[in-house]
Amino acid sequence: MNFLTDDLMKKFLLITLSAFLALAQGARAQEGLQIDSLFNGSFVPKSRITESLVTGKELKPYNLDYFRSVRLQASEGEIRRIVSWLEGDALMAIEKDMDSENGELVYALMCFATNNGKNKYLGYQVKESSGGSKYVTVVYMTGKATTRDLKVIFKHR
Amino acid sequence: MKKIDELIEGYFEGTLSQDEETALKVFLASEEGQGPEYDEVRAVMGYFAAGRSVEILRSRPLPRNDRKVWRRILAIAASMAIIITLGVSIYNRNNVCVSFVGGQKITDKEVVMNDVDNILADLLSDRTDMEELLNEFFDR
Repeated sequence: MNFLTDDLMKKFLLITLSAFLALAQGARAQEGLQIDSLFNGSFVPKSRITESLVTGKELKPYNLDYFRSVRLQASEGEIRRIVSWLEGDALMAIEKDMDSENGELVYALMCFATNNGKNKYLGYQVKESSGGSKYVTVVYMTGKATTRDLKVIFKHR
Repeated sequence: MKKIDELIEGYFEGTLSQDEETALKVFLASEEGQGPEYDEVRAVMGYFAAGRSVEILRSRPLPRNDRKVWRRILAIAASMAIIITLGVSIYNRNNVCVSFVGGQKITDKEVVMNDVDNILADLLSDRTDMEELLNEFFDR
C-alpha cells in the first residue's frame, strides 16, 4: 500500500483517528469520579431512573456546556452508597457546600479543578415525599460558569 | 490524415509531422501493415519493433503512476467521507437535548430544558452562601 506512506494520507488518517478519539472521550464526561457508577447504569437499572442529558447550544444561557442529571426513588441502602461515592469525590473538590440533616447528607454542591479552564460541578439533593419516599437527584455539569454565576441565574426562580 | 503511401513517401522525404510519423509506425505494426508490399518499407525504416511497442502502449492499462494517482484520489475521497460523517456525528453529540424517563426517550427540547431548569433551580436557588450574605451586609 504505497499510498499510505504519503504525507497527505498520514494527515488524513491522523485527523480521522483524532475524531474517533474525540467521540469516544465525549461519551463519559464524568469519568474519574466515583459517582460515575451511578451515571453509567451499573448501580441502578435505567428503568428506575429519570435521566437528562444536555450538551451544547441549549446550555449557552447558563454558560455551561454539559449537563447530566439522574433522579431516582432510592432506598436507604442506595442513598448510603451514593453518599459514600459523593464523600469520596468531595475529597478532590476545590470548593464544596454540603448540608446534613440528622446526620444524613441532604445537599451537596462541589466544584472540581480542571485543566481546560472550565469548571466541573457535582450536585446532590435528597427530598422526602409526604409518603416518606426519598428522591435523590445527582447532577454533573461542566462549563465556564462559576458557582456565583449559577446562583445569580437561579437565585429568584 | 494522408493515405499510407503518402505517409511513406513523406517519411523518406523527411516532411512528416510527429503525429503523422507515429500514425505510420502504428500502421506498420498493425495487421494491415503486415502485407508484403510494406516489407521493404518496414525493413528500411527499421521501425517494426518501435511501431509494435506503440501499438502495445495503446492497449495497455493505465500506467503505474496513473493508478497511484487514482488510488490516492479514492483514498482521499474515502477519508473525506469519514471525516464529514464524524463531523456531523460530533456536531450532533455536542448538541444533545434528551431525557429518559423509566427508559423512555423524550426529545422535546422544551420539556427537557424545563426539567433541567427545575433541577438547577432546586439545586441553586435557595442556597445562599456566607460570602454572599457578607457581601450583601457590607454593600448596604
